[in-house]
Amino acid sequence: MEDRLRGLIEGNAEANRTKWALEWKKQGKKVIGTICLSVPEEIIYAAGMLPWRVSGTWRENTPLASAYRLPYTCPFCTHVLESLLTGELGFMDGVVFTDRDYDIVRLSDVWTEVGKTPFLHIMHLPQRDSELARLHLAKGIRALMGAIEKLGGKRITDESLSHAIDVYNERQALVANLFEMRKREKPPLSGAEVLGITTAAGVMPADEFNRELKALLPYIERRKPLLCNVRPRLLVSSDMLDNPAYLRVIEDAGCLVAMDDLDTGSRHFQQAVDTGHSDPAYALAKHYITGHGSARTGQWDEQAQQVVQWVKDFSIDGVVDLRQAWCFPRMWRAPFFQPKLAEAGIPNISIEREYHLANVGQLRTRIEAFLEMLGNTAGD
Amino acid sequence: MIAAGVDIGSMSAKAVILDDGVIRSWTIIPTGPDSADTARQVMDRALELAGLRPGDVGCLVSTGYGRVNVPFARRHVTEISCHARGASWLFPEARTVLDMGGQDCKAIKIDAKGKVLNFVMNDKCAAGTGRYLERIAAALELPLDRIGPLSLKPVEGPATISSSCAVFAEGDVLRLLRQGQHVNDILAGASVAITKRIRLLLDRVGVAEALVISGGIAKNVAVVTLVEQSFGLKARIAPEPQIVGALGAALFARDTLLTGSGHA
Repeated sequence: MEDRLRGLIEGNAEANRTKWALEWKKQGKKVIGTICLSVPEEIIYAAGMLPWRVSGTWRENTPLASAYRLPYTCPFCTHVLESLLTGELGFMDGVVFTDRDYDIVRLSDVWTEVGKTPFLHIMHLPQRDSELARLHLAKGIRALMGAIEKLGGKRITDESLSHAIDVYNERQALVANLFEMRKREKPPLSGAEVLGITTAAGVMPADEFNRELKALLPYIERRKPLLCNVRPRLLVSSDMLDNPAYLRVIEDAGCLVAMDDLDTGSRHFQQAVDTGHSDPAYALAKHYITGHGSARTGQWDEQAQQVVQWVKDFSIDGVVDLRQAWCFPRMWRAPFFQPKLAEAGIPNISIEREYHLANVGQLRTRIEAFLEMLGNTAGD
Repeated sequence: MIAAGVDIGSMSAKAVILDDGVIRSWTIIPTGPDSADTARQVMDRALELAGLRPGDVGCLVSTGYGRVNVPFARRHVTEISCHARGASWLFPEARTVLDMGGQDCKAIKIDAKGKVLNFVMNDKCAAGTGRYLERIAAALELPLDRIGPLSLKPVEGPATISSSCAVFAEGDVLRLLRQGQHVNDILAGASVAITKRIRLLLDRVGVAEALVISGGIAKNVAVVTLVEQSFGLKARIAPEPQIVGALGAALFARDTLLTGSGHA
């Protein structure tokens, strides 16, 4: 069982992430990349296609992408473009973007010019939640449905969409079990391992992921923690973080990442889609607009309150804002967010990171110093 | 009771030997390519100055970016905690520490016992670090220790130099030289630029008196003066500001000998 679990944890590793998609293609079915976790996977699934969350290469050098992108821009987008230009994403039949971030819009512009992907679609993502915004996003979701139907040559029926929502709700419920286990004093999984599983969910067919996780949950429940450290317990907050090695570096410094505030982690699995609503597009819009609060969306108060609540629920000792370099929405939010945490008496630190694993020594020094600081506070 | 601290920085390695809470010897050497070898050399030199042998040292704590590569260290502690501890020991009234080394710059808020309450460090670029001034000095072909005194004597006033990037700053220096700008004005501009970065860091952590400046930058009279003017206070500076981190490490080693723990 441990090997099977390891397979799931390493599902999004560079060597593994395309294997399900390539298998899918062998069956004559289409694979649609999603760039942004607010793209409704349910629509793509309902059309009989595989929604596949696009990760960038984890290699340091991006010589091909650098011709199109300035150094002072989102490194996630640069590394994704590098993967596109090296041909690593050549198997995709389509890609769906949102305008969550202007860098993603710029990426879609370059993709349109130099990519050979047959189908490209960009969705507008409202900046904040309101009834009007939900209706607007629902309209965008219907437009995506129309485009996907045209690509697939068949209609997405109410039944197939309803089934897709059920499958993804089941996935959410299964992953929620992992987060519940993280509340334990000695969780069976490290923070890096949980991120491995949540990112694997983005590249595996949902039915297969659900089968795997359902089969593994009883084992995980009883799994003896491999961790050397169970305290201090940290919460790591970031966007576009899909490389668990970052969390391993943090945990190797002598702590446990007991909770995360990641779009690739807890935020993507926070809630289920409302199945009681008569309009599935509206239900999906509500789900994606309320459940994926990123720094780009304006609900900073709610986001801060959520983190403060997680700190209580998961017995967190300190928060690490592991912001990706040149992530301007995060930079704008930080002066608002940090005082909110300080007001709540939560020690926190902001550390800049690249998309690929880099500057490990500096990251480790900052984390060790933060842990020493937490030790001091706790000791006196 | 002999306790020792070794600080392997990016540019220089420092060692301090404490004998019953009194500094018995200290030394500074350039960091070589092999951290373990550098640690051995700096420690051998400090032992020689103290008239001791390696076996006389009861406990040694390492710090600095090469701290994990000191094979004879009992344990390692980050330079943030060590600078805080060393500064507090030297100046018990210290509540803020500014340490600027070759590779990074940190502003640390501490309590009355020298424990870290909060800290911020520069982002990973070289602007705002000792490396920035080294590049400026290299571009002007001047020894590092002349930068401070010359900066304090501008002819027409400080030149405008990039504070955001050490590489751009070097380009600015070469451009200004070609335009015939006086070297003192260029150096004064560089000191103003680096002080802007320091100010940003200190503002983020919040300056509480007394402020201690440690690391190589504390030897630059122009930057120290500008920081003091910027905050309207008089900074405390150790007779040898580069050994504050190694001193803190030695104090943690002493704690270990006294209590068996030496919590950072």
